[in-house]
Amino acid sequence: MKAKRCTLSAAMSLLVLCAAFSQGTDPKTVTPAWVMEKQFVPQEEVKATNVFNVFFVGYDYPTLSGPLADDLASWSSPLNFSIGMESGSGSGSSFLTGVEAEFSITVNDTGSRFLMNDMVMLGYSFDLQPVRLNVGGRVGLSIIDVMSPAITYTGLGVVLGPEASVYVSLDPNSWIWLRGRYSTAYYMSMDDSANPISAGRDSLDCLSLEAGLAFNF
Amino acid sequence: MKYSSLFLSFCLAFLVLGCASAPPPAPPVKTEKTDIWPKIYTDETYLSTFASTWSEDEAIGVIRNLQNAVVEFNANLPLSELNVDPYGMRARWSWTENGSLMKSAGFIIPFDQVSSILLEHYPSLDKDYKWGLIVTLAGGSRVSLRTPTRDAAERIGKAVHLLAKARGSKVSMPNTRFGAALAPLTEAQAQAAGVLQSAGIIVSWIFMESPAEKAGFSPQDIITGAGEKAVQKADDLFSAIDAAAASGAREIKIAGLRRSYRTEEKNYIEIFVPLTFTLTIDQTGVLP
Repeated sequence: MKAKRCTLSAAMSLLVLCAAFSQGTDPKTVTPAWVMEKQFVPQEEVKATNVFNVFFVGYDYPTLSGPLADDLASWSSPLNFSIGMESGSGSGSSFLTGVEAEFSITVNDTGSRFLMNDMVMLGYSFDLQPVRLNVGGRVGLSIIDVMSPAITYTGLGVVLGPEASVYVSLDPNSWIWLRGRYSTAYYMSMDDSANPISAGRDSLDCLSLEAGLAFNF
Repeated sequence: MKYSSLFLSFCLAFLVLGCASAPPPAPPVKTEKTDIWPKIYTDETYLSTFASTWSEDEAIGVIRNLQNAVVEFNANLPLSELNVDPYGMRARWSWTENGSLMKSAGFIIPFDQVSSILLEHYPSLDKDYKWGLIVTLAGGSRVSLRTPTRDAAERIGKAVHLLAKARGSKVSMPNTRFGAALAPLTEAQAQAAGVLQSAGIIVSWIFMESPAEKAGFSPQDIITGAGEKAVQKADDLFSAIDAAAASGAREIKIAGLRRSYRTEEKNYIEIFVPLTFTLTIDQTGVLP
């Protein structure tokens, strides 16, 4: 036991002495800055080209359901489109934020219907080069406006729902994309007149399939 | 009421889209400027004293014999004319332009004007003839030659060196016990390293196969001390090495600082790490 204690104290004394008279580090263990800087440039180039920041436009094919859907059936819209932006938080796979405006406009013999959703998106983008898989959810404001000889009303509401989209790279700066989304909107009437929303048919579900082009910015 | 609600909706759309147009987060960037430090060359300079025991005639003969193994660095064309005598080396090469227009160019190395000779290797050069010589003349002008082999470059270097010495030229040679190009610290370098400008010297570049390379020195290293003495200029370092050699020492400890980086989250922070180099001393001071 005593021998062990002596050995330990001797070792500690040696350690203290070594520390007191320590010299600089062995040069072999320190990478010079210029060697590291040679690696910075290509890494930064890769990062700059691999960050997902796109502006997109696309065609939207919605299938409406829910209480308000029957009241809108007269305006099955051929003119639906979406426009927006999505930005990754970093290079490669990363969290994703975005904004989007969806427009659905129909004018026919029975009048006109205008539906617009302004949404923000939160999700995650998986970098599966040359494809990106984005999953997330959207929440935003929805406005519906119906004008017909029989009835005219405007509804303002909240829309939210999950989505998944696939972006396929066409070239370093452009993409073709497909998106599937399910959303539910709840409206309140902006009119005093009698209308489906004030009558309690105030929600609208939508399964939408979208496709379009996106461009890096 | 109707139009005001539509107007409101468009305003909301523009507001939301406008918020999204903010620039994305910037990629991590280096925190310090790097252009204050000595440039890093891809060319390799080898340590050679170009010492020989040839006579002047033999040196002239060596150059003549290697006429077909030399091109000027940029021209990359065989020499059509090479004239060598004890006073200088004159070479020309020619080429045709637009099918018929004959052009030519050349260089002259006046041996009494030679101030330094460097043995070069160009590993990244996308051409044949990756070895060569840089002959610097008084006044700063240079003649750069390329050869297919190290031996050819060294033989021409030895011949030019011998003839230059014979003409009384003061050819500066590197310190063969160390083997690096050294420079005083600039104010910006000293400030970045956190030392006084007079507290050290900086390594501009290292000769390949030199004692400095074997000791682990790198370009941009700052040398602050050698043995027990502070180094304020290159002569302080060489004196310390020579003194150690004179005392029979086999090696000498050299203190320095190396610029490097440590990572902190996504940022690279420039740091200066104290180093101790062990330089092996060649007792003869002469390269084999």
